[in-house]
Amino acid sequence: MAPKTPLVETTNLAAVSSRVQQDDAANGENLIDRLIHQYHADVYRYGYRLSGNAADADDLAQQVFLAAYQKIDQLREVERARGWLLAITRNQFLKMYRRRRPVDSSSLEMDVNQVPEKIKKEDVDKEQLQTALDEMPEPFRTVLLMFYFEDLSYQEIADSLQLAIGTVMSRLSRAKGQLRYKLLCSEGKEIFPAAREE
Amino acid sequence: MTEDRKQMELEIDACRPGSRDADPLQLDENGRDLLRRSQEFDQLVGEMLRQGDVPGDLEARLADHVSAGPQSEETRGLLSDTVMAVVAAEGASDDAVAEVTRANQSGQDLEVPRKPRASRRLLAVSLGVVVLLTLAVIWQGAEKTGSPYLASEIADRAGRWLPRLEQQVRMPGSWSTAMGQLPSDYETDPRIIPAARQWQVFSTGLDSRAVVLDVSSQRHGTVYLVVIKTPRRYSLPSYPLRRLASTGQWSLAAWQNGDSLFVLVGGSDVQSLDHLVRSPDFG
Repeated sequence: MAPKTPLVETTNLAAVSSRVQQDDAANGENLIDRLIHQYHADVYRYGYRLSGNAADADDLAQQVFLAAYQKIDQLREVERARGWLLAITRNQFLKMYRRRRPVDSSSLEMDVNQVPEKIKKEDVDKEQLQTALDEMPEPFRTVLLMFYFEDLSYQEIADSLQLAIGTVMSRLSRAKGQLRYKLLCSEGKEIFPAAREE
Repeated sequence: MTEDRKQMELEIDACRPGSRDADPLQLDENGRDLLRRSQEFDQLVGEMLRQGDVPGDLEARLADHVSAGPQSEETRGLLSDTVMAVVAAEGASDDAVAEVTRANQSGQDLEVPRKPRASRRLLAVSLGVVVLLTLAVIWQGAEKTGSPYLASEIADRAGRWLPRLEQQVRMPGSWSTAMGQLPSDYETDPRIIPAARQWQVFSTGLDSRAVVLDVSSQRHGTVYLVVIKTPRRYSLPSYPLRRLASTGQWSLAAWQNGDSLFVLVGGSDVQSLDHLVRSPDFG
């Protein structure tokens, strides 16, 4: 372990404390500016995917970075900042913006074994993707986005949402089944094997 | 479908593309093929989900918002609760500030007499705090006595959020046509002739959850009514409308009824907004 070099020569505690507070504030401001610059698009997009609404995504982004600024001392590893900010986004969404929206009652799903051999980017419609998310029950959508957007394993999702692993696996599988059906098997695309209805 | 097969599909669905999640799975040839197809689909969907337009001014607005700080106790409480629920990003902190803090906490460099310069600084800071507190009391008093804000402030603020409004109203899926779900506090002013066809939530900086109503019609062209809830009083009439400004492309008018502040955003001719208002009933 390297010997500690004296960081301050002054022996005045009040002055040291004052300087620490000033440095803390300055460091926090610099860091939050960097975080905003680097991750504002990710946070906004995640908010949009969760809420399906540009205004809510905008509000969420404001609340997330304000919260991040206030609690910047909790962020010890800058490499984990993206995950930290996305987790704040999700929690804020679940706390403030989750609301009952009409969901697609048909809940048709496509099993993984019905996924076609080759999928081209053109086969998946961007607007249909968001519509499929919007129509999904919120617990399914949250798990699905934690998987796709936050890149969390089912174990991490289970820990974070305090759910049983089996529940997470089941929700994830059903959510993906609904997404596959809506993207690959809906109107005009019934070229794949029949989907199952729950 | 057998239980084993169902379980295998659940496990395949839980594997993230590009990860080692699938390593422990014992898959036969068919299983490996399913995994490949599933992960190709996941890769494509994941990429698409992480894309999307972001408002061009978002970064600047976020920086402004953060530098302005929390607006109220309510906001502070809310943010605190939210962050407490977040898994903290743990890890060692080796920056100089933390070292200084730790040095202080461990009792190094303590108990040294205060120098006169430090005392003077303390006095100056104390005086500054007193002055700020006095100003805050005066400001709050002014607000309580109801001194209205200038209407021009609305025009200034609207000028700042107009580009975002323009962008937002064009975004697919942002409108709701379910008028029955519009919160009753945010309904249109009945004195506005064209009926609202659709609505969406909007942030104006005065109130985090204003609503934009689309009151466009063939007869009146593209018109939006922004309904904002605010405790602030502006020097505006309670009856529509007071013309505020014209940006060339848009004209603005506003009025305030209780805590409901209405901002009408219409065509380039500010006088055309008058035609949107029902004549007063003197009968």
